Amino acid sequence: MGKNRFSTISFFLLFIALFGFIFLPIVNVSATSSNHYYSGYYYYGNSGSAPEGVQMSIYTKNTGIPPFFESVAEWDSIIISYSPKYWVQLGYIIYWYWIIFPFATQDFYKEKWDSNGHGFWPLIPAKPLFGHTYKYKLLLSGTGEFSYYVYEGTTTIYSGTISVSQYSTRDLQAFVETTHTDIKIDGSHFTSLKYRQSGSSWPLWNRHRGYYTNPYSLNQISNYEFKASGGG
Amino acid sequence: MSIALSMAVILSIILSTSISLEPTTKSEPPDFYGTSKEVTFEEMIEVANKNKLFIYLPTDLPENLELVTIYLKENPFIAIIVYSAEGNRDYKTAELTLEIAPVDPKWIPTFSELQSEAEKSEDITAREINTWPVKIHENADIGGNSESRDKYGDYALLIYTWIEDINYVYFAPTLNFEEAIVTIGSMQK
Repeated sequence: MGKNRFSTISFFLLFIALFGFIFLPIVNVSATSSNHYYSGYYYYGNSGSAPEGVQMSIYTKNTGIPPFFESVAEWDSIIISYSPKYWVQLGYIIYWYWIIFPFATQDFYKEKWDSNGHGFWPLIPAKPLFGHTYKYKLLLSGTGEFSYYVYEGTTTIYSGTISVSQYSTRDLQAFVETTHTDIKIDGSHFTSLKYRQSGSSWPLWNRHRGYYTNPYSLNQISNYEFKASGGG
Repeated sequence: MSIALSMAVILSIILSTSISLEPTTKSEPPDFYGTSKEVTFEEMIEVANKNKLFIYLPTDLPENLELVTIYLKENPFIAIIVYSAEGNRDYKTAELTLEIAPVDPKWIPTFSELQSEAEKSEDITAREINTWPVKIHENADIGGNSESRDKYGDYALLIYTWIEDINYVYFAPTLNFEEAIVTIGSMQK
């Protein structure tokens, strides 16, 4: 009896090992083949240099589980440069990740791409709750350093820094981004889009440029509020 | 017992290589085309003058590179100047681009700050050319434009300089270090 159980465990371990060896390369291939679809705002501001901070409230929309290895994210970003495309980003994502087997979940995350490469960090352990609205704030706070904050109401859920190899900012963005048109984003809602030019005040965005790609659409409520929909 | 042990070893190898909390697709913010318009050189200069910005441009470029087109966002002012020997108007795949944007003076690095950065990386060189601080980054990550990566691979040469509160960034996947120095040294108003 004990020997049989031992054989069963050995067989199971062998199965997992073979599964990993066979399917890991397939996952990596899929990671490089996805498209990107958007609905949201580019900042369009005043003369002079770009703002050094952005913040906004984003409703956490339950889009359901995305198709296998696809994702949907709602975020704000500070663009560091467009050519090459470097940025820092903060938001929430519904995505697949890989621990031997693939799992789908939602997480807050921070992300950067600079001259040292790409970095993505899910913020754990607290996860975004569907139906809740969180405030996401990013701010150039020092040479090569951005501060980030995630709030619910007046409660700080996460705060920390993102180090980059660049010195200044270029532009701001706020978008819903999906990697597959089957993902339905109806109900996505961004409010109180604000920027910080210098000093400590956070004015509302007073200009913007709306942008969306098929099959998604954009309801441009004001310079500092929009809803996104479509897909599925 | 030896089977179980070997399976455990294989399993730990798999675990160590396959736990990934990165999404299987990377985010890619929308590109500059969505927030800019294609303009002539004269139109760019007119907008720059309106913003009291005085633009310096290279006068000595290698490999027959010529100014092909310009993409401009007026506010905040961001211009991407595209240089190509092939008439390529795409800023993501052209041989050389120059991104120009004003910056708050407090974020402009001094030459000694660039020197400190260069001491930490063999790919980074700090120079002072015409009194301008210059950072040359060889083998910089090519960034999130997948079209650039498809054409030029994972790394490219970047050149940064700051002149009169304006940041100039050359994305130069086809230039070498010496050509970068000549290009920066030839910049004129």
